Amino acid sequence: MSRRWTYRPWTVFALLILLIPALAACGGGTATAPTTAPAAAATDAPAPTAAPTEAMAATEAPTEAMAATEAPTEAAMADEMSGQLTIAGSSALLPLIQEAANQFQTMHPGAQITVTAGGSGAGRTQVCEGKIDIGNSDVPISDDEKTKLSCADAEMTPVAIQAFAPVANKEGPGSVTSLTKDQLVGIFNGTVTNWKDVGGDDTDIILVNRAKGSGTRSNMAKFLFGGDDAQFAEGASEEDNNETVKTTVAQTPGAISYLGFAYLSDPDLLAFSIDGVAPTKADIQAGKWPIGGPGYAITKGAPAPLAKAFLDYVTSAEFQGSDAFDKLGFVPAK
Amino acid sequence: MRLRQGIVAQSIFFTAAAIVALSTAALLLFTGSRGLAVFGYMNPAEFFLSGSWNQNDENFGVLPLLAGSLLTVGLALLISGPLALGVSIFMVEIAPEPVRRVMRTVVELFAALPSVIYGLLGLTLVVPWVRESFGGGLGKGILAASIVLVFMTQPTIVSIAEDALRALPESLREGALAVGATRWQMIWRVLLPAARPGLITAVVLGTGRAVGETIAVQMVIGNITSRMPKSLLTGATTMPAAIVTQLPEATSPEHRAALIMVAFLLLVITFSLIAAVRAAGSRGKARPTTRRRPSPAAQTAAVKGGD
Repeated sequence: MSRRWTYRPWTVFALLILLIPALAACGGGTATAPTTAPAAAATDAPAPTAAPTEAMAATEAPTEAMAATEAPTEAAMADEMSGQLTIAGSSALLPLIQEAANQFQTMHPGAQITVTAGGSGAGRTQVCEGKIDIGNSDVPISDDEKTKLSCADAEMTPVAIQAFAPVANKEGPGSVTSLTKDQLVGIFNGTVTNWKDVGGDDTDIILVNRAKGSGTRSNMAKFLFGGDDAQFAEGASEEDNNETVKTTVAQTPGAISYLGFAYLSDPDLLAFSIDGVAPTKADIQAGKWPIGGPGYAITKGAPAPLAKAFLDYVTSAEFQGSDAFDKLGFVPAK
Repeated sequence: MRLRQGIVAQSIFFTAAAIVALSTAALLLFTGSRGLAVFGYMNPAEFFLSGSWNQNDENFGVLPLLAGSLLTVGLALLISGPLALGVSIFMVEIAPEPVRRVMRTVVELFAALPSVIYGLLGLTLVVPWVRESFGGGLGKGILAASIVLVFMTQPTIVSIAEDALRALPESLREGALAVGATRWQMIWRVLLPAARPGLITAVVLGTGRAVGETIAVQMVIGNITSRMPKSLLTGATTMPAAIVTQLPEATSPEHRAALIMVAFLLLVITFSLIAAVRAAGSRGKARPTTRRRPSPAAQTAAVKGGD
């Protein structure tokens, strides 16, 4: 027993010594964990660009002088674009903003951008409370919120067009692939309860909702009920994320819900056209698709230089035209 | 030299203990003060007695959440308690050593599974089963959540109950058998009463695990807060599920305060359960049972109980 005791304090000590840097790293900001990946990407990326420059320098002697003059300006730019940026909010917008952040950090290795989800509501609240630099939201900040959160100076930058569409299990609708707005209103307010009432099979309609306050649900309420969320049928299940909605609808015959554009091509689901308009990229961009609208990046007051540079990049033709949008299932804002 | 090491070790352990104690106090203080702020927006009667929790009309009555938690956990333990007791009796008294060892590993594995895995299994296996077996609807609700919780509470209850049974002195068994008791009589009349405090502890810690379970329940219960639970098969909610569903989208201060108040109530419930464990434990000390160190599974399970 006593022999064991003699080495124990040292084990604990060693553990503590190991723990202290770990704790300090954690305390250094929530940024640490998420930024490691982009940072790695940033260090990886310059390598290929460096190679051609070297090759050029080797073949053309005069370029060496140019490279020398270029170096300081680049360093100065990098210096300007350094610092930390914290972004949170809409989980629907997250993949797009994350992609933009990765690309931005590759160009400006000094910038550390942390993007997290948390919900549109959290995005609006936290940016107004000054906890984060940019809050992402699927819906604009309301006048009511501007007063309650003392956020009258909120600035909204549209970063992408988000489209939402009603989706159903393949069993139930039968041959129906398009619904009218009135039919959808009836389904979601609970007055239409069987698929046969809209031309489908004799199957009960089972409603699946997103949680109240979710950006997706708000957009749906805006289209169906003029924004009055209270008109959604009472007693429908509420899920807090798209994945659970998708799984639930895909496995429940007769189920209907709504999802963002990125999910519409899922083979397990049936995405409806509305009044004959299908939720295609072209029709969404042309403004023919009725559900959805811009997703916003919100700052409290005018954005700080780094935040402004980032938002400029997100809204730039370069990023808006990139294949990230197609890959991730978003429609460019411009 | 040895003395100095002793002092160093002591101060390290004291600091560790102080950190834990202080953070617990800070937690209570934080949730308490932020949560009680809800009574600045609505009176306590409304909060505790209203049967509807609805953001749309800014009415936050905690009853649907409380009822959902009570029903889900109650139903789960009604199944899980006897089942786990049976399993632990089997492991201690009946199963041969190799079988017991395999079961022990399985129990430890179940204890270590992350909640979200249980939730996923619940969503893709339990929910469709409930829907097909009990007719129509979505299949999400109290019954589905209870079934998931039965599986989640098994490792906690089994491992602690097993330890309690195993800790009983061999003389109890020998004595009972010597006076002509059958194996069943020995277990039922002698072992179970003797191990009662440990068994109660096991069930209470299992309850703690079930009450606090969040993600797995949230994925299968339907999250309906605006009315009281209607049946075991229709959507409902529990306290932690409501918090995790609504807090991210809660923009109004009264909504957030109400949710934090629910968190505070959860803390109070958890602390009461721990107090119950201690009460059961101290009653046990009067009996001639020697408690052994709990197994790793029991420790993991007990630690996970609060999440």
